[in-house]
Amino acid sequence: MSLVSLYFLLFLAVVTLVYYLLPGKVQWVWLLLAGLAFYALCSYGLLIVPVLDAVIVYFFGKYFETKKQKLLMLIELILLFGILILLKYAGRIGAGWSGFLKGFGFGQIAAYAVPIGLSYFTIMAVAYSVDVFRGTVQAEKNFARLLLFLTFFPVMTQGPILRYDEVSKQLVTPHRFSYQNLTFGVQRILWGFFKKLVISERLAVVSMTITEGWGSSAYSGIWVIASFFAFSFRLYMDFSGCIDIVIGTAEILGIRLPENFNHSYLSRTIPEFWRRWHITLGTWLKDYVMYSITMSRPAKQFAKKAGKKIGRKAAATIVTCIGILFVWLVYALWHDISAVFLVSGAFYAAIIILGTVFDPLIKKFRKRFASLVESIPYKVFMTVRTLILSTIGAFFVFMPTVKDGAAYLAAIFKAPTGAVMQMAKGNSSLLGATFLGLDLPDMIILVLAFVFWIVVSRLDAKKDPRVRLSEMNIAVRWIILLLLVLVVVLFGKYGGFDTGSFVYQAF
Amino acid sequence: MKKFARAVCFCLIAVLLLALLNRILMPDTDFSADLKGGVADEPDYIMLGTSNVFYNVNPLVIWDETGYTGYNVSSEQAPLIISYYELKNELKKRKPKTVFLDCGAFEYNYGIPSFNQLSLDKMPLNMDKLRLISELGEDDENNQIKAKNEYSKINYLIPLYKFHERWKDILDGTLKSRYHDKYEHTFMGYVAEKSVFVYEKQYKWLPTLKEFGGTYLTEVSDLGREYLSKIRTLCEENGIELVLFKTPSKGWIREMHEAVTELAKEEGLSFLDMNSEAVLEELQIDENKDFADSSSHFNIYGAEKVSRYLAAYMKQNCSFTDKRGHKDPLETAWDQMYQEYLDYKEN
Repeated sequence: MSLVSLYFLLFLAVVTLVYYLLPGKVQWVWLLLAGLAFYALCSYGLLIVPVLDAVIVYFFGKYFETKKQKLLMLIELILLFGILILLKYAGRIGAGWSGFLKGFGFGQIAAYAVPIGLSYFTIMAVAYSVDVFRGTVQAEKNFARLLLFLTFFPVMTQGPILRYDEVSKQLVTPHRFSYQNLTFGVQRILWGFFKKLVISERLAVVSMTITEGWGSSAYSGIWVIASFFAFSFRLYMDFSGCIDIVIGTAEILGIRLPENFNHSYLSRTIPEFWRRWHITLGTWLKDYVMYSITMSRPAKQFAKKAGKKIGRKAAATIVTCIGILFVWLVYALWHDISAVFLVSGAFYAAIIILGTVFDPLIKKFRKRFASLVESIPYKVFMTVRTLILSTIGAFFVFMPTVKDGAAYLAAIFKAPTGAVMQMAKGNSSLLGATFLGLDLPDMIILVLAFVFWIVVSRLDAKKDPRVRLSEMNIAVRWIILLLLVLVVVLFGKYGGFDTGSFVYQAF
Repeated sequence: MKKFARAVCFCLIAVLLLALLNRILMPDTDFSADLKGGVADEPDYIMLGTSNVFYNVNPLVIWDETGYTGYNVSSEQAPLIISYYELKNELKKRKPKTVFLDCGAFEYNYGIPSFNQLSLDKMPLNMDKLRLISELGEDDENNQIKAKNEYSKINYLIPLYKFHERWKDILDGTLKSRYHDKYEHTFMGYVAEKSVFVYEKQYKWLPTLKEFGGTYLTEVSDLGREYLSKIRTLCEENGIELVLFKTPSKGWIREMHEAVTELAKEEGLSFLDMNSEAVLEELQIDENKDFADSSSHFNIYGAEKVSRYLAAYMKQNCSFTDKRGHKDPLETAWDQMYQEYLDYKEN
C-alpha cells in the first residue's frame, strides 16, 4: 500500500476513527493491530520478519537488563543483520531467495520477498538493543509493546527511524482526540501530497529526460548541472513529501515523530547537509556506528599510544577519520550491496575526511577572510556548491554502474548541447511543444508550484505555516486549503488519462 | 462541537468542489437517446449491445417503416456484463415489449477497460454501478479472463482519478469537443456517421477465425452464458421478450455464429444473424458506399439498410402496434425527429 494512495487515506480514516472511539488504555493495542494489518496488506506472510526481530530484541534485552556480555551483543547483531542480509541480498545469490520460496509453493510471498521497511525496523531494533546494553534505556517488559514500536504503520515504508526512548511512551499512553492534531495532521499530509504529486513527479520527468538523453549525448555541459538540480529537488520533494505524510499521520493519532528533514538544500557544508537530510539516519549512524568506534577501548588505546608520537590532536583526527570511514561503509551497505553505493559512500567519506583533516586550515581561512565568509555571494556559493556535491553523491546511486556515473559527470565538461524545447511533429503551437520533457502547461505548473513551495518554506523557517493558517480569518483559511486540495487533485501526477487508449478499434 | 460542524462543513464543500470538477473534466461521451417529452414512455423495443448497435441501427428509420417506437442502449465494446447493468438501469425507467440483444459481445469476456470506462461514466452512481464495478474484470490479449485486474477500479468509481489531467484540454479548447465529435449527430441512441470507408482488402462475411486473423473467442464462455442468462431472467421478470440478433459485421466469425446459433437453440431464443447469406442477399450491402470505418461500422446508408431489414423483421415477428395515423403529439415528435435526421442526411 503506497502512502500516496486513496487506499492509504481510507486505511488511515478507519484506523483514526476506531482509535479515538476506543478507551485510552487499549488504543495502543489497536495501533499494533493496525500495524500488523498494514504489514500483512503490503508484505503478506513476511509479517513474520518484524515479529522475529521483536522476539530477538525482546529476549536479548531482558537478558541485558541483568548481565551485559559483549559476545551476546555481537551474536544479537549478527542475528539482526543476518536476517537483513539474507532477505535483502540473498535474492541475488544463485537461483535466489524468490526461486527458493517459489520452489516451496510460496509464489505470492516470493513476489514480496523483501518485506517492506526491513532496513528501517532492523536498525530500529539494533538501536533499541544497543541502548538497553548501554543502559540508557530500560528493557521493555511487554513484548506486544515492543512489537508495536517495530511495526508502527506510518513509518513502515520510508522512516523516519525511531528511537525507543523518543516514542515508546507516546505509543502506549492514551490519547484524547484533539481537533488541532487532526487538522494539523491532515494539513501536513496534504502538503506531502503536494510536494510528491505536483512537484516531484514533474521534476522527475525533467531529470529523467536529461539523464536518458545523456546516453545519446543529447545533453551535456550546463544541462548536466541543470539535471543535478532537478534530480536533487525531485529527491527532496519525494522523500520529504513522504515523511510529511508519515509525520502528519502520526500527528493525527497524537504521536509526535522526529523530523527527518530541515531544509537540507540550504546547507553550506556536507556535514551540515547530513545533519539536515535524512536526519534520523544521520543521528543513528553517529550514535551507533561513529561512537561505537571512537569510544571503543581499542580506539582509546590507539589514541593514547599514537598521541605520544604524533600529537594528541592528530591521533584524535585519525580515530575520527576511521569512524567516518565506518559510518559511510555502513551507510552504503545498509542501502544496498552495490558498487554505486560504495562509491557514493566513499565520496561523502572523502569530503568529510578532507574537511576534518583540513579543519584547522579552514578555520584559519574563515578567521582571516571573515568579511568575505559572511558576505551573501560567498554564502550562496557555498550553498550551491554543497547542493551540487550532495547531489553527486545521491545521484550516483541511481546510476546503473559506476562507469555510467563517471561518464555522466564527465559530460559536464563537454560543450553544452541540449534540446530544451522540442516541437511536436506537424504542430507549430507552443501547446504541443515539450520543454525538457514537460509540455508547456506542466512546465508552468511546475514553476508556480515551486515558487509557492519556496514561499511556504521561507515562512516555515520562522513560524509553522499551519499556526499562521490557524490564526487567519476562517474564509481566507478555507480558501487557501480548498485551493491546495484542488491543486493536488487537479495538477497531481497520478492515475492518468491516456488519450491513446481511446483510439477506436475493433468494435 | 462547533469545530466539528465546521470540519464537516469544510469536507462537504471540498467534496462538492471535487464533484463539480469531476463533472467538468469527464469526457462527454453520452449519446444515449433523448427521451424528453415522453417520446418513448412505452417503447416497443430496446436495442441492446455494442457499437454494432449504435452505428448500425437507426430507430427513426424503423419508425418511418413501421410506426414502432424504440431506441438504442449501447456502448463501445460493451461486454455482456455491462449490457446487463445498462438494461437493468433502463428498466427502472421504462419497459419495452422486446429487447434485441446484439451478440457481438460473445466474442470476448470483459473487453477493454478504457472502453468500459466510457460505458461506466455514463451510468448514475447507485448500488448497481458499485456491484458492476466490483464484478467487472479484464481480458488478456486472447479475450480470456485475466487472472488479475491491472486497471485500477478507482477510475470507474471516481472518474476524476483518471481524467484530472484533462484540465489541459481547456487550453486548446478540446475539453468538451474531443470525445463529442463522433457523437455529434445522434438520434435515439443511434450515432449517424456520413463518412465512407472502402476496404482495400476484400474481407468475406462470416470468416473463420483463421481467415479473419483476430483473437476472438470461438465458443460461448461461461461468463457469456452467465450474463445471457441474467439478461434473460431480467427480461422474463419484466414480461419482456428477448431476441438475439447480430448486425452485419466483418468481425463476426463463423465459429461464434455457430456457437450462438447452438446456444439460442438450447435456450429456446430467437437468433437473427444478419450475416447469413440469405439476409446479406436481401440487404445488398455496397462495399464501396456503406461502411464508415475500418471496424465494419456502417455509415448512414448502410445503417438504413440494416434498420429497414429489422423493421421488416419486427413487422413479421413482433406484435407491436403502428403508432402513426393518430396525429397525436407522439407521432408529431417522431416525425419531426425523422425529419431532423433527413435534414442531416441531405446536408
